[in-house]
Amino acid sequence: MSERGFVRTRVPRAAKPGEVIRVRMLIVHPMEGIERDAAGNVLARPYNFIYRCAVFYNGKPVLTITPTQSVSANPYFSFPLRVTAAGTLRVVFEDSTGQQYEDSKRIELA
Amino acid sequence: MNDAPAMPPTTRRRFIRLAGTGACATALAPLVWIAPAHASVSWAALAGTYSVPPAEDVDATIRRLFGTREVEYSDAKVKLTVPNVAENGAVVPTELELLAPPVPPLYVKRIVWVIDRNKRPHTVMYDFTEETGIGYAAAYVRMGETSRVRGVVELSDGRLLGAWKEVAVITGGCGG
Repeated sequence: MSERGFVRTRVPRAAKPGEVIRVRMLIVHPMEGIERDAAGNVLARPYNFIYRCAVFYNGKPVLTITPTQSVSANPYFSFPLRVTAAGTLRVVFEDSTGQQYEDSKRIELA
Repeated sequence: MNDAPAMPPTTRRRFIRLAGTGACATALAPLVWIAPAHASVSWAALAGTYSVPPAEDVDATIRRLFGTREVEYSDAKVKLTVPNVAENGAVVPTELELLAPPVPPLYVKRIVWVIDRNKRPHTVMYDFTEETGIGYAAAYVRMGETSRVRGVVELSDGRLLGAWKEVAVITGGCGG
């Protein structure tokens, strides 16, 4: 759980056709904010934080999220999704080092 | 959490002191390292902008995002759920919901969180499509100090709705 890049996506196992479900995502990531030395000078180094996220349903892009360094460490995001067909939800996060983290969840029709 | 290389240890005390003196408050867009996009996702084809938001005044943020269009702030239309008091500014749970969800084909195109007194007020942006633009989004944000938190919703017909609440922050979480 505490490993960097661990993505936990929560969706209902099944949904009625046309039902709006709520998707919750949690990713383990430090989301480094800006840091300073004792004199208050900004430390000039690359900061590692998630700066984009894409969500696909059955391969079709349905949402993009653009976090910044003002998003908490181990960020949590939630959004609604209208399910019209059974399918696979895929979420991909990318941090500023180019590393990608992803997760997939299957949603069946009830 | 502590795998940043060659960094002096950030003790809690030092962190609080820095946050408290508004140290989290300066520009540093050029320091951020944005790597080239990975091949497995065609980011360019997706909506959204991926630049690091500048350190600026909140009015400038709203202008940059939405131009001169009026935002209709209405608690009767937009429900923003935030704590009244945040013990820890590093993790402030927020939730935004449209009380009357848009009826298709109308949908929510974008929801943006703006935190007035963070040096970079632009916090997180959701770009929705018809499948997801149903009028809800949640995120955990950082707050440097006590501030107004705004959520601005852009509908697909161009209307802008919004809501704001004051959140009292006890320990600053350095809003970047």
